[in-house]
Formats: sequence, C-alpha cells, structure tokens
Amino acid sequence: MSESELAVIKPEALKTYIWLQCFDGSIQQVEEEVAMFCPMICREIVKNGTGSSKNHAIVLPERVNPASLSLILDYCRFHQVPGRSNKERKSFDEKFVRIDTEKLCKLASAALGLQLRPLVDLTCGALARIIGGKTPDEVRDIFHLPDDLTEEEKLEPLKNINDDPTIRLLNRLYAKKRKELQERQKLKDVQTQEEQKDERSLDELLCFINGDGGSRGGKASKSKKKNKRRKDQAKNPTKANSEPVNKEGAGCVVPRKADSGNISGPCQRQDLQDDIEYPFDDADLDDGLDPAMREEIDREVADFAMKLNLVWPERMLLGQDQRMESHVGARW
Amino acid sequence: MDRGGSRKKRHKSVANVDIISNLPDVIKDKILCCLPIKEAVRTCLLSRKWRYTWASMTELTFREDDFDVGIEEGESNNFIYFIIMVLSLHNGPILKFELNARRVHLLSPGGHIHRWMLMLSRNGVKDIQIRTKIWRNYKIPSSFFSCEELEYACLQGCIFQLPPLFTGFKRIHTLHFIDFCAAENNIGELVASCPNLEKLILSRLLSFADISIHSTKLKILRVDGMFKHLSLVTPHVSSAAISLQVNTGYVPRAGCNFNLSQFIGSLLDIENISLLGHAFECAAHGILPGKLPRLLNRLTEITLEIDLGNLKEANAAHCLFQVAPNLQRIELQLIYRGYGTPTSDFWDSIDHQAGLFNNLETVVLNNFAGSSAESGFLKLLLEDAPVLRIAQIKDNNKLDKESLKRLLKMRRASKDAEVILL
Repeated sequence: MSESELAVIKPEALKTYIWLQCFDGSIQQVEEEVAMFCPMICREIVKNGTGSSKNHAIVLPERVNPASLSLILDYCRFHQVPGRSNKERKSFDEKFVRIDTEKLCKLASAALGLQLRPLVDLTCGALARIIGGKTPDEVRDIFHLPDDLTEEEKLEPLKNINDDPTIRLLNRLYAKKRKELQERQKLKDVQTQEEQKDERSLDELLCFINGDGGSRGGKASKSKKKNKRRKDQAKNPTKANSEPVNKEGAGCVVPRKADSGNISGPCQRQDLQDDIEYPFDDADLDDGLDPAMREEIDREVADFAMKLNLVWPERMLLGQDQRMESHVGARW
Repeated sequence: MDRGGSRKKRHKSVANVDIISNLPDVIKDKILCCLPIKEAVRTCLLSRKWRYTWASMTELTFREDDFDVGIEEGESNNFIYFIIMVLSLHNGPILKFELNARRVHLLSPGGHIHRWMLMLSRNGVKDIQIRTKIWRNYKIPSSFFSCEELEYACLQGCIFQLPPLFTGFKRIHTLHFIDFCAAENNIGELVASCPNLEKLILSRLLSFADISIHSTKLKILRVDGMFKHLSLVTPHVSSAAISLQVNTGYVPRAGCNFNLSQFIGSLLDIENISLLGHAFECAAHGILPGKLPRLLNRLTEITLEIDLGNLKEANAAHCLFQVAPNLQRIELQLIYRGYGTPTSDFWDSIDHQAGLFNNLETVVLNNFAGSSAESGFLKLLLEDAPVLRIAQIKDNNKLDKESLKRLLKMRRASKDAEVILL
C-alpha cells in the first residue's frame, strides 16, 4: 500500500488517521501521510497493521514524550509536502531547532526512537553548535552537568583503556627519558626548565588543547622526548659493536635492534626503509624546543659521545642534519 | 550566575537535572562527531560521565586548519602528536577517519601512516580519507588492504601497490585516489576484486603501465593523468570522464594509447562522456564509421577536447554524434594540434539533412578561433539543430569584427537559438 495509491483512492474529505499512543497512555490521532514520514510508524502500520483504530493504536517507544511528539509531527507535516524548495526546508529547520536546550535534548532522543534520521542529524548538529566554542564551565551550566571531577583528576591521565603496545612503549620511553634527565641533572648540575610532571597522556593532551598552560607542559614533554632520542642515539654506538658505525656524511640509516625504536629519515631514507613497514617510528615524535635549549642539549650529547670515544652517527632527520652538522663540525 | 549560587543549586535534587548525559549513546556520539575534534576531546573535562565518552567517537576528523600548522617543524609536530594521542586513547570502532594534512610535513611518511592504518584496520573502519602532500609519496600500507569493512576510500599522495594475497574489498562503493602512482595493472586488479564498486575516481595519476579496468557495476568513472595504455570495459557506466595528459609535445611519439572504440562499443547506459586532454586524440584513430555497434540512446552530454580541423578527430567526432540521437549538450574545447591530416571542409561536406542534432539544446565552444573547420562545424550545428536554444562561443578576443558578424548571420534552424559571444 503506497502513499500515492492511498492519495488517489481517498479524497480530501476522507483522510485516514493513524492512532498513536505514547508511553504515558495518552492517545492521539494524526493524518496518515504525516505519520508515515516516520520510518518506525510506517513499519508498524505495514507489518503489524496497528494504528487503524483507537483500540489498536501504535505504541511509541518510551523516550517519545507527548511534547516531543507534537514537535516531531510538526516537522513531518512540513517536510512531507513534496513541493517545497530546499531553501524553504532549510529555513524551517533553522527556526525549528531554536528551542529550549532541554526540549532539544528530548527531541533528539525522541527522533531517534522514531528512527527519523534527518531530524536526529538536525538536532544533534544544533546541540553540537551549542557546545562548540564554550568553556567547560559554560557547558556545564547549560546542561546542568555536575562538576564532579576533582581538580587533580582533571590533570590526571585517563587510564589506558586499551592495552595498546604503542602506549606501553611510549610510557616506557617517557619513564626512561625521565630517569636519564634526572641522572644528567646529577651529573652536570644543569638547571632544566622543565617541570617534572609524571608523564601522562591526557595531561599533555589537555595542555595542548588548553594552549596557555600547556606551552610549558608541552615543551616539557617535547624536550624530554628529544632528550630521549638524543640519548638513544648516544647509546647506540655502545650497542652497535657488530654494526658498522657511520661516518658523518653517510647517507644510510643505521638499523636499530634496540626496543626503543628506529631512527628514520624522510629525505635520505633508502628503499630498504620503505619496504619495511616499521610502525614504531617514535624518533619523529618531536620537537619544537627553543633553540637555546636545543643547543645546550646538542652540546651535552656530543660531550657524552666524545666520552665514549666513538664517532657520532649522523642524525638523519630533516633539519636536525644541518644543526647537528654545524655543531658537531665545530667540535671535531 | 556566580559560583556559590550554582553550587547551592546543584545540591537540590529536583531542579537542574543533567539533561544530556543520559541521552542514548548514538545521540551523544553524533553530537561529538559534529564538533571539531579538539572540542570533542575536551568534553572529557565536563563531568565524570563524559570522561570517556569522546574515546568512543565513531568518526574522527583531523584537519590541519583547526590546528595552527605552519611551515615550522614544531607546529606540525603538535598536530601529529595530537593525532597519535587521540588514536592511542581511543576505544571502540572507528567508522570514519579523515585526515587533511596537505601542508603538514609528516616527518616520517612510513611510520605514522602505517601505524594509523594498522589501527584503523583493526577497528572496522568504513570510510577513510587521507589527504596529504608528503613531499615524497608514501606507499599505501598493506594494512589498508585488510580493512574489510571499507566502503569509501580517498587517498592522496600515495604509491599504489597491491599486496600479493589481496582478497578484495567486498563492500566498497567508492574509490578516490589523487596524486598517486601505480605500477603494473594494480588499479585494474583492485577494481576487479571489488565487486560492488560504483564510483572510481583517479585524479592526477601517473602510470607507465597498461591499465585495464573491467567492472560491471561501475557507474561513475573519472580517470585523469598520464598513462600508457588504457583499456576500459565498463558496460554500465553512466558517467565517464577521461583526461590524458602527456609530457612530450608530440603525442604519437609518447606512445599513449586508449582504446576508445572498444570502450564506447561496450557502453550500454552511458549518459555523459567527457574526453579531455589528449584522450580523444590518442584514441581517435580507433573509431571508424560504422564500427560502433549500437546507438547510445541515453547519451545526453558530450564534452571533448578536439581539433576540428584534424581529419581523424573530425571523423571520430562525427561517428560519435551519429550514435547519440538524444544528445542534448555538446561542449568542445577547441585546440589546434598542428600535426596530423588537416581538413578544412570536412564539416561542410556532411549531409545537412541527416538529422544529426535533433535534440541538441546547448552548445558551448571554447577557444573558438574561427578557422574554416570550426566555422563549418558551427554552421552545421546551427542549421541542423531544430531545438537549439543556446550556442555559447568563447573566442578569447581572437575573432575580428567581420568574422563575428558572419557568425551571427549564419542561418539557424531553430527560432529560439541564441548565439552568445563571450
């Protein structure tokens, strides 16, 4: 039974009505073509044959309350008319969602219950626009959310929900880096500017998002990672007894067997690197230290390498090359 | 509202019930997906219930424009770092992943994208869009080919190589590759292993091999770039646009080859065709009068880049017009090749009563130079098209007043025909 057939058979005066019953018991009747706009109602009529009389009214899902239902029916009544232009529909939609936020939430939920996809998209988009651009406090006010996170929790990391090897590796690397930094401090008594926060994923994430307080924290993490990489590079000569150590100016990548990841270079990287899909390329999780800090670290690392009496393998990263070369060149 | 007041309100049990946290998960997910990714992640600060809601977002869209990405290394690293963190903390299926990083210098093309693709392949991704302009293209990771649920894929700036045991994307309906290189017939093999593929778009492709695309379900086809040999058997395609670019000036020397007659001969439902660049020229010698087996009744639009004064091309175009009785719109990009057999009166010699353009309504001629062949063609059109409404001619100020006057004076079969000169 298609709508067009019905339209032909029944003249204007004998419009059929569908009976709908909300969860709270109230029953109302609606014109058929309006009700058929909702897929869920449509299916009920066609499959189960309900809705034709008051006693066999279609029972709507619980989340459809009477207020939302009347809004939805207004929406259907407007949109099921085929002759409207896109502009008209759009302006109707814009006006339609200019309602109280609480009603909007209930409307979204009800639209989902009736499986009215366009209305779900419309209401969710409107709610997103309400949330967007506001501070957490403002959002909490609008939606009456309880401020139940402690100040500490807001900075605490989220638990590692998935036991992703990447996270474990990263955390391990950060721990190592932290330890090395502490050792270096003892050795050299160099004053580091970084705050010794516990390395936590969400911490940096939030700092980065929030921007302001984050610059310091971000820098901390970045410089730590950078130190970590430099340290690893420094350590590499010690491990690479069997591996050939590259002279400066060599263009090959030194393949590492250490668990701390791979050094890679985008520009001079040879094909051997292309073929290996090495997913743990944490050498590039870097950077953005201010130049002074960088130079100091460069110097320290070069020092360390000199102590080990080995040639410093060339850093392969773009940009790092020139810096390193100028530095090491000055040294040697 | 001051802090003290709102805190007092929160202790009341009746007023100010949380209105959003108890919405169905689908709704919350949709709301988060409508927000820019940074704000969506920031919802973890709202309340206890929202702490991990963002981590189950089904659509992740990372746009470099939302981050202050400059040319500096440090700034782009922020962006990459953010993506890494979000992906590593994410928990749940990812149905859509979009990455727009055309300016970001991904330091290690292999490392990042490989990792991310691996994660996506494990999470049932349906829609992947990665647009990068890595200065050296990256090879598509093999984990991409294990995304069984994939329905839509758009990759830019990559090197294409199929893994040896590729079983195909059973659900995919759209493939879109931009700025990429392909070896052998990888594209053809990929298409052959995707039974439900409906839309194939290859933009700025670079291939030195023969490409052979066979697909019965393909509806929309766009191929643009440099290729050696293209063979298309896609009978049900309804919209086809092929544009062949060549580096060397003289095309036959470049050895490009496009089997146009086989292609057109196999078409059943075609609605619009567009052959730009050197596509028509390379293929033109393949179309001979009477060789096309059937009429293309649904063909309503033809766009060609053609040298009307070149005998082979003119012949081929004429064949094409002959098999398209319901043609409504012709758009020609006129060009002068300077080689091949010239002809100046081909179009004048065509029988004007043949009813070639019975349904033609719009004609657009770009780069009209007023040569005798072109004028002859225009004359034919105007005299032979009974329902012509608009003839738009762009001449780039090449024509002098005399020629323009002559144009406007040409006899028109249709009373409503309007000749617009730009």
